Amino acid sequence: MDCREAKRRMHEYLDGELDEREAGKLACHLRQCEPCSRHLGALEKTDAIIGSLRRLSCPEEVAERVLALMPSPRRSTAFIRLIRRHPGASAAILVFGLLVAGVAALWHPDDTLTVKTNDLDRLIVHGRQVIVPEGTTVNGDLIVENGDLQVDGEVRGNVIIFDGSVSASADHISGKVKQINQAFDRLVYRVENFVSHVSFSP
Amino acid sequence: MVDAIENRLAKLARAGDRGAFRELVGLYKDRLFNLAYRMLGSRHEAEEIVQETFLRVFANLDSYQAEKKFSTWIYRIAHNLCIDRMRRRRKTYSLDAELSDAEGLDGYAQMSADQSSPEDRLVLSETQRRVREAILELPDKYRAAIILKYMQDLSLNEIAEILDLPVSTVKTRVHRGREFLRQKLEDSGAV
Repeated sequence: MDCREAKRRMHEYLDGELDEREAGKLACHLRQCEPCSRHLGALEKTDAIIGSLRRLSCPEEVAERVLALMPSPRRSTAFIRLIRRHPGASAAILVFGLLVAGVAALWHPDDTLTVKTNDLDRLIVHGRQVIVPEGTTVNGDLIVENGDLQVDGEVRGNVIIFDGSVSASADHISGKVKQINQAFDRLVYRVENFVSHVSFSP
Repeated sequence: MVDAIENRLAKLARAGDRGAFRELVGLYKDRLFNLAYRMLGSRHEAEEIVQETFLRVFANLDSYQAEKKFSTWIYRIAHNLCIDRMRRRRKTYSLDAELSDAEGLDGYAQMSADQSSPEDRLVLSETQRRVREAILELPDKYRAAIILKYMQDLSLNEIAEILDLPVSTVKTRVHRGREFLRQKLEDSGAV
């Protein structure tokens, strides 16, 4: 052990962290090294002096001033305190609640007959029935909500029916035919549609 | 065992129990006062730090988590307030120049030495005075580690949590602080 290492070990010794083996090596070095021996003596004295510094008492007025300055007890209910203690979880629950509300808004179960098409003037609407007359060609998609579709003419596009029926022979509709009756499917459709609208906008 | 009491008191205080908070003040006022006094060298400022620390604890009780140790929390607040105070001193005033007959004290340590009460001047032995001054000359980093270890009797792990440092860094600061103080005390003939 050289003097530099000895000095390091001295501090570990004073911290109470020197194991027996190292302590033995240090003791051996100290027996042979007068300067290091003196150094440890000085450190031990320093330790003792610092440790013996007076402990002062805080004046009583300080404590009294603190207690006087405290505002009157807040009457926060347990609920508000709960929110204060868990700001992250509270925020998450709030956001989730808004999300649910937003989803519920997408889902409007009214039962008005709705027809969406570019060629609305070509169609015949009779009560809850929507008819594509024979000889008429509808270009583009045709969407009917809360009604029954009868295709006697032609539809060059997709047909989507919400809560209704469709009757047509297979080759009168060139695109796909989708029938959506459940609220959930309708929701999925709307969400998918929204997404594809967004992604296709120029 | 003591820690458990403080944590329980803090939980009660958080729920609005003023008596519990009063008890915490009683438990910690002296400890905080000693910490601040040794860090800053001034009784007056130490009193302000104690006051400010308790007010902050009270204001932030809602965010106290019972799983954490209350002592770590309150010491950290007090320590940070002391550091802020020390930084502000240096910015506003330039009394850092050593005064010729003040044994290397910076202007502030000298000023605070003068602020000591009559009782201090009578009772303080020469050695006590020298070590008090030596501690005030310690660079800020080492001062906190030394005071927390020797005056507050905290373990190196607890100090590491309070200062938010690795234990190895705390050890180094304690060791360097010790060497610095040994040198000062040797120079003034105290050891």
